[in-house]
Amino acid sequence: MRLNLHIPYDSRYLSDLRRFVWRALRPLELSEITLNQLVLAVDEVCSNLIIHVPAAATDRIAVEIIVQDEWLTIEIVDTSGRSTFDMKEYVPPRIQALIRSRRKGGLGLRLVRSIMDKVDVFEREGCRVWRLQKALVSEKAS
Amino acid sequence: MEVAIIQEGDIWVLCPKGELDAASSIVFDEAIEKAEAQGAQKILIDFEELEYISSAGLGVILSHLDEFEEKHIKLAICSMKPKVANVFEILGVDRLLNIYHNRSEANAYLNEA
Repeated sequence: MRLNLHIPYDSRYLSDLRRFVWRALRPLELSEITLNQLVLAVDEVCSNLIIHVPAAATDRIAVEIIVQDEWLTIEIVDTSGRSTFDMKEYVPPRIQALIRSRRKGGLGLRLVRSIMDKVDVFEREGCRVWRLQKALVSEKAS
Repeated sequence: MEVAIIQEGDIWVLCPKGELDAASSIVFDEAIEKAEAQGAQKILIDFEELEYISSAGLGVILSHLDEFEEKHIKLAICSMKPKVANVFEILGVDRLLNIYHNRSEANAYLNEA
């Protein structure tokens, strides 16, 4: 199975994105909580891209959902042309430090890494690609 | 998303309805700030009609905790759907908050001396 969606760099389209992911994954018969987690992971990555998008970006975020050999792969292609992101250097923020700083953000990527089995960020054809993967074998609702 | 704000005695009850994400979190943040600005000392966030929450919604709650502690404002959260509660659990944020199954349990906590 392969499904695609393109959305503008605009948070008003996040609800459309979530519905797309939910509809795409519903046939996999996952539990409601797992399904919500996967929708959330995609929402978090795209929200982050939208919040930090360079002002000049006019293209769209491309989202592709692939189910193959008991693996769910979601590729999110950031076409805004920003520099690459090194996942190996990412240090999850400490919750207590966030509370003390009174910051409103900073938890999204930590959530994504907790939900997915693999998170890779790499460059392809001048775009930054976020690849989120989850093994489906153990996730099917009983 | 919309947030109903109801004052029940000395408790300010905030009831977000719908989906709380990066686009709508500002509405939720404004509702909390409104309650604070009116002098609320007890705030109850009732999530019964909340269908979805992202880190943006969690971030709004966490960003107020330090100030609540400083101003001795009591906060309780109640009536979360399992899929909403799960988002708090993934990050361990549930252990930092006073979360109750229903409004009467939350009210009992807020009304403790």
